[in-house]
Amino acid sequence: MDMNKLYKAAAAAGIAPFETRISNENIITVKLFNEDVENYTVAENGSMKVRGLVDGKGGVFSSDRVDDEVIDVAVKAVKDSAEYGQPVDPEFFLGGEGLEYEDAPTFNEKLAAVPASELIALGKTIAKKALAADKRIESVNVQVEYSFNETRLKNSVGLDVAQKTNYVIIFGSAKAKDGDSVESGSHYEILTGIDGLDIDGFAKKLAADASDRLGGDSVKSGKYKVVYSPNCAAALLTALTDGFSAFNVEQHISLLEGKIGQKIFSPLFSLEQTPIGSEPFCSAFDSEGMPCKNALLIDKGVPTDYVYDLATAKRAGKKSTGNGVLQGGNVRPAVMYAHVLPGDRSLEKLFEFVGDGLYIDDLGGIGTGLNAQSGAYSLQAGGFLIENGKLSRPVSLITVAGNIMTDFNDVIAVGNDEKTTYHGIKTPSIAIGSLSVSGK
Amino acid sequence: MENKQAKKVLSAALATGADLAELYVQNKLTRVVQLNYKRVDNVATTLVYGAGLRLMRGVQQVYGYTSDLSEASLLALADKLAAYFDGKRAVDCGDIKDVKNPETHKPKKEHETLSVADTIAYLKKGEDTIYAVSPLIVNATCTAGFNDEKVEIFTATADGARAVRDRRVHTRLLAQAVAARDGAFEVGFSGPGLSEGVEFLDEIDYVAEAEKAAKTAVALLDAPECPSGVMPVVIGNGFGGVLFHEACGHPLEGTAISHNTSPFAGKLGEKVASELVTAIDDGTRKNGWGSECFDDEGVASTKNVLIEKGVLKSYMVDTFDGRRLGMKPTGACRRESYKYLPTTRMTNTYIAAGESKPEDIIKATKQGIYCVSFNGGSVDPTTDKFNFTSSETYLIKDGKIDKLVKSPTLTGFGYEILHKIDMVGNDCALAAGNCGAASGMVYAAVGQPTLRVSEMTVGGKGEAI
Repeated sequence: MDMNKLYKAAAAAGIAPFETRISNENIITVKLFNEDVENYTVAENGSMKVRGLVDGKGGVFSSDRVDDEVIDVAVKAVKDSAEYGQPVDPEFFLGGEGLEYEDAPTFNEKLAAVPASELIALGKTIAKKALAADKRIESVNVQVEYSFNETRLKNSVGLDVAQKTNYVIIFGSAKAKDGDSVESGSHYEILTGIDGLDIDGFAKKLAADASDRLGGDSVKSGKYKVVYSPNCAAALLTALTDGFSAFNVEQHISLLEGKIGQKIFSPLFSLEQTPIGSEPFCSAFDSEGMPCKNALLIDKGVPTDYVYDLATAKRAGKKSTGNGVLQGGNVRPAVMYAHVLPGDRSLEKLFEFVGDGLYIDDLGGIGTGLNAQSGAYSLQAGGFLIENGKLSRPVSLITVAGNIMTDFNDVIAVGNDEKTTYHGIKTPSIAIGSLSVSGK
Repeated sequence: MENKQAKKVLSAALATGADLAELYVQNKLTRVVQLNYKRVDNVATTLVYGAGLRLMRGVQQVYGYTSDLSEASLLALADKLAAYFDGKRAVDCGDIKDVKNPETHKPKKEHETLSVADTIAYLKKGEDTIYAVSPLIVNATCTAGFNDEKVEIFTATADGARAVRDRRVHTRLLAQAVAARDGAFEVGFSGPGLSEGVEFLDEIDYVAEAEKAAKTAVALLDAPECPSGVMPVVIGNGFGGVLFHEACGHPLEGTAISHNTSPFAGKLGEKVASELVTAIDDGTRKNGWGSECFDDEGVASTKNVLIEKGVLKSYMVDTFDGRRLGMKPTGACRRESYKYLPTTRMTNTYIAAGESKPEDIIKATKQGIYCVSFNGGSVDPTTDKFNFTSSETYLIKDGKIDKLVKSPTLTGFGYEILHKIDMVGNDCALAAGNCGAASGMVYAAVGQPTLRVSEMTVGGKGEAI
């Protein structure tokens, strides 16, 4: 696309300031069924999002098509959108001057040089080892995906920043069968490089996640101490991180409204946001071009502050915290890459500490069973019974019910087994003092 | 795209021994108008535009996609994909023949005939209604979504080369109300949609839908907790069908069947459900939310009876999974966009009407719950273990609908539930939903009449009954 032509067309149509976010991505995906490559996908794709003001009101347009043919469509769509858009302060389109960015090195050149044949070989090895790990494993699916994205954020008043990111996601699922008992399991890792990958460990975890669940049964309904795995803890925490949005606070739909500075969570529970780092969820700047910063959000049970974009910050008389995220047609504040600070107990030590309870490593129905506004949830769950400080047997077909606000005030221990999850949250396992479990 | 250009791409793709080459070109314009936080919050247009190229050889697939539709870009993609195979040309791509489209779901009124201002005025009535229901309403979100999609699917095999062109138009209205009191929040929601144009707005009583959503949200604030335990569950018609969609529809998709990761694999002709159950996936249903004249690999949509009077009659099958199964595709191969490799997905999936009157089903139930509708749910197709969250739930006591209770989660195994359906109503209805799975988010309608499951695990926070 001829960017000068686009900017000229926008200016001629009275769109000022005008902003473009142009992305290019490369993806290689290898999908294996057992040890056979079943699907191999390659993609080179572009996309753009443009935003601008017409008579002081904001308009947007997004497109996968990034060529000169789409310029007229884009300009017209922004104008149409702005006709009914919200007034936006022109100063929210930042010039580039005076902004200092910390480095978020999310691009690994060595990973970019890995040939597709190596990704295929890696997938095959994992599949082979997982199938061999336990004779009850009937089949495995393994997906190895390399992803590269480069986004350039530019506007008509001088901003011009870019971020390059690449990573690999390896996802495996397995089916285990023993007599009439059938279980599925899965394991994934999000990696910034494949050199240090423990292939044997990955394959073992994948196989065990299915085979260890065989013969599972429910438990008696009642109150239990519960250890949530990193994946489960992260899924629940998505609702809590929404509560930090200053916009949600303005709209009275935040769980944390009026709670800053109060001790409302367990002193064992601390949460920070870490956009400055090398992991795939990190970035040096937010959707408005503001520099991102790492910050402690919950300090030993006490929320420290909300997160702001330029608009909410101005209304609150504060500075943007670099948390503006373009959502649909609007920029809204959102937490960037949250991280629960780890404790010092291994998972085994957490079980010992709990003594008797449940280890929940599978939660179903998060999308519908978790009320992000009240924090209440009732979810299908699976995992293992903890007896005398050790896992004793698999548990299935139970539901756990709780509320994020009370649960995270009832944290009794935090593990050191932190994991980067696909929820965009890094967390270790977390033990909760008492949860309602519905079983037999 | 012209057939001539597509032929060049397919021909290049077939150079190294693929036995099927398919070029999928998508041009989809989506417009969303949304009122939220008591203002016009979003008027946005999105263009999804690109091509996906798929090659098959036996039970291997290679796929690539790009949003650069220039000939050079597509030929480069074809060469890159062809390089994956190392054989000699097995299929020559002849001249591409056009397949006639019946245009069954053509809109009566094009989206362009409705201005943004008129859309806002239409939604505003819903928004005003929601806020008027109660001072406890803290937010109303009223949305109109308009999608106009054109796809072109060019396929070359040893049987010849063909081009299918299909247009899909969807219109959906959503109304969501949030009620709050003393830190407790409850949500009411309605989201009807069809493969129609602007005429859909005239057919729907949007104000009534919005009012119902608001009243549900407010009533839920006062509702006691739902009891927990194993009990009879009466499930309402329409969106209640999401239970069948999740618990039985997904495990009947070709992907799970062909990999033997479904409890229904190898069970054709066997009794898998109560004889009261006849289940259908029907992509031909006129203007249905999940309808299309052709699926995303260019196969004509079909009305596919999956279960007839309790006996498993058919699976949903796409070309690729059909190769493992030795079965022909059933016209239900779908994808969200050119960025997704297509695979078997549901279209409009429902349980057919039975003979019981809905009120008789309630009367016949001494104690249990009545789930009018659901927020949604999910299933593990391998184990067929499912979970659903009911959105509007009433206790049933002595054959009568009693009080509203808070939303419980229902869990179980799909294959067990099918056998436990012991009453099926005569009031079948379908409702719009979005189904997310391997090939992305697709328009999928769910449906059923009011029916009863004799026993089911209910995960409420109340006392066990």
